[in-house]
Amino acid sequence: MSGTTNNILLSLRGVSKSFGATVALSAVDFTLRAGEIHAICGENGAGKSTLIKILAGVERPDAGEMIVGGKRIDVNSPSLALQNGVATIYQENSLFQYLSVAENIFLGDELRRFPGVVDRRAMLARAQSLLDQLGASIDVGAPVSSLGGAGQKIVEIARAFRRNARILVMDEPSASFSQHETRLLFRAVREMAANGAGVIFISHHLEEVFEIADRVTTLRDGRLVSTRAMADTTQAGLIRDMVGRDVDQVYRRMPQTAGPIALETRGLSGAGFRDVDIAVRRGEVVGIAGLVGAGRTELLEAIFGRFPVKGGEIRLNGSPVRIVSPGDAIRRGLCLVTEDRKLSGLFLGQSITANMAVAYFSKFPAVLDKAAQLGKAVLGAIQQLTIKVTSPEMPVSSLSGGNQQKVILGKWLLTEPDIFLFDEPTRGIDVGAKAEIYAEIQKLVERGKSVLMVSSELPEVIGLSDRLYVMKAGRVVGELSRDQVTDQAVLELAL
Amino acid sequence: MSTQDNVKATLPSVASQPDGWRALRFVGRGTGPLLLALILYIAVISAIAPAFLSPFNIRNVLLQVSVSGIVSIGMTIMIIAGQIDLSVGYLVSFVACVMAFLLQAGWPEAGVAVIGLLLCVAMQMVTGFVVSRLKVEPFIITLGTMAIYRGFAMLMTKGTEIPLDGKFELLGRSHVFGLPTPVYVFVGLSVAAWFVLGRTVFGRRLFAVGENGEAAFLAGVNVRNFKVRVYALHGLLAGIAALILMSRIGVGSPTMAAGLELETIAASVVGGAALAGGRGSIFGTFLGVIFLGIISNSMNIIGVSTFWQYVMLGSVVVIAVILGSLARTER
Repeated sequence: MSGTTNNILLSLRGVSKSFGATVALSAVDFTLRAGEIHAICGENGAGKSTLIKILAGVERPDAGEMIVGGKRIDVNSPSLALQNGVATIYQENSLFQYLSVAENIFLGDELRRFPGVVDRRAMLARAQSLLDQLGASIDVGAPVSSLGGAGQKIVEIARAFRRNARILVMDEPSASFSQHETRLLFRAVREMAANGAGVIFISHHLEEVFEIADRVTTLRDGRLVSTRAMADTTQAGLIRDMVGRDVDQVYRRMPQTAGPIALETRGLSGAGFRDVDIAVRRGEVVGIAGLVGAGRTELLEAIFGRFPVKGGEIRLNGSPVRIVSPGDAIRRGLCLVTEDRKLSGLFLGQSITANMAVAYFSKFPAVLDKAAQLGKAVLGAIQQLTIKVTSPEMPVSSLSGGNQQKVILGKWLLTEPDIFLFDEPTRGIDVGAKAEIYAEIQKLVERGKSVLMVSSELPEVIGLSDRLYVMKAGRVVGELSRDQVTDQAVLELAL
Repeated sequence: MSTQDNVKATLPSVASQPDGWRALRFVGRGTGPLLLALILYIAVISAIAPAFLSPFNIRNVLLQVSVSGIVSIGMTIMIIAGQIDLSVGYLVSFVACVMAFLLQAGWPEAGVAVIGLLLCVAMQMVTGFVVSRLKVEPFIITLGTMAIYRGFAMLMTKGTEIPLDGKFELLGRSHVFGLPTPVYVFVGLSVAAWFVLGRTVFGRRLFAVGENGEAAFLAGVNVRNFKVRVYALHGLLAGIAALILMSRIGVGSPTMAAGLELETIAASVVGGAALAGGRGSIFGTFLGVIFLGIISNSMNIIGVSTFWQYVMLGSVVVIAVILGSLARTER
């Protein structure tokens, strides 16, 4: 950061926005300086999305003003926002997968040799120099689909750079990245800031916020809580600002006395993993750490019967079993909370009841949809997990991420499983909902259930697990007990 | 008991739903506007042409829609499962030709009917098997099988009709209490399908598979076999339609049900089914079938040419799809 306090790119004064009776933002002040990376934190529903939409020109504030480059502007469309130098990069990427990197960067604004004739060579050269300036080595002629997640985000940054955006808004840019990818992305973000742009960075990953941001603004229930310099704050302080109470060691849970082994693999091999020996006891939370691509998801899915096992064996309560399909796994008392709830967990357009029904009837086969029985079970799960709904017939698409995740957990609770497989149990949900999911995991093991959990969030996997396996390139490379485990020990094994 | 009271207390809207609304639940979500449009249309038409509401004409409309209505039930189930079948018109024609051929050869009527039904089920199951195992698009596969059935039907009949010579009249030409038998079959099958979709585990799975096959699989549904069963069910309904149609017309002809695929897809879509899968209702489709039938019947009464009827039918489908899409984005 340059430290020049008067070099302000953007300021919001008293910005408010309501949707019907819901106050999304209430008199929020915010400033962004040139060369600064400014994080915005808050739980889901704190007003981050609304703030982004106002900056991007998608929503108009009800009150307050937005000042860009010293003059007050009224942005009422995304293109106007762009003209004022505000570029927004959304969580879902907006690139054309089958066009090249260069074509994407120049889309809608191609360099021309003559009117109507695109100057391909000039675009390739210019695109290359843009990406070089962002410190990324990306083949500008390759289709975007050939890039990883970070590469694609960097292409979006390059597009904003090319349009001379002075203010870059990034919504959860690294939600699903490995550490390596995150590093590549952060490098490009820092280059943008070094070039004098201001970056607004929204993330649920507090560690990332501490790694990249210069300042952080926290919102809660649509109100500004604090704006702090990163150097003056701690994770605990930030979490306190976000949730409004002391979350003392969100991740810690009481260790449990474990029972006999419930799930065990011996020399298990399949697509993406080899010779895996792991064991999970009753009443135990076992974590699997490792980089994205280490074979962790594949292992869980193979145990669940999603993909065939190529060698070795799975044992349940001591006896070897062959699990041929997810349906088979469910009947044997397993369940899997998948990594991507929208892609493989939910029937988004359907009701909570409908979402819970399918797995329920896989465990308890029936011909008729026993509506009364099912309805009671669904209401029970909704209550137990405090899912915030007015009716079990509400479509799950109308729920927040945290509540959607609870619907998935509820769906599995209905099948009364003994072994819970979790793949990234709290991805993309806010701190409050996370704490609730952790509390549920704690209750499960107290009732003698077994939990096998994959997580890329180190504090989560370390704090929650009684024991931890580390995977690397498809193999288990280490096992750490609760007293041995530290961030460093895990990373040394994983990298 | 006490837990249930608690549940009601925390979920007020569940408990306080008005009884009148509950009674209307059978209507299915989103079919209200269609029902309204249908009533309005009937009101306008009967004002212009009072003959429309005569018992004779109402009976006539019901008879006319019963064959496409039965196939529409199957098509709706297919569409909810994320599938589509373009071949059904020529499948019905082809199987009717086979049955007519066997009847002419002197086979017993009951045996021929069973063979016809089995043939429809078997051919649909083959399609379903190919679609679900090889992960190919049903649109293209059934476009191909459509041409195949058409070709076989033409080859069998050398392009002409096979008369039944008075055989097999019972199903298509008889009446019960003054109403043609096919109307009972159509209404009966509609009620049965409404029950299956709304009150059985099969129905739950159908919507789940259509909305998100991967999630359904991970929730324990054998998605591939399930799809084959959906095709089989659709085939059975097409077979019943073939029996009725052949019996009514009194011949087997290679083009007797041409265009049935469009009529039935249209009825499903007008009734609220989405081609992306996971959405649709039997009651909606029932209304759609009646609506499309009434439009063509009323145009005949008023004396509008067939060509304009196509324009009208097409417009109804397009408007229905647009309204459906608007209603969805509203949410």
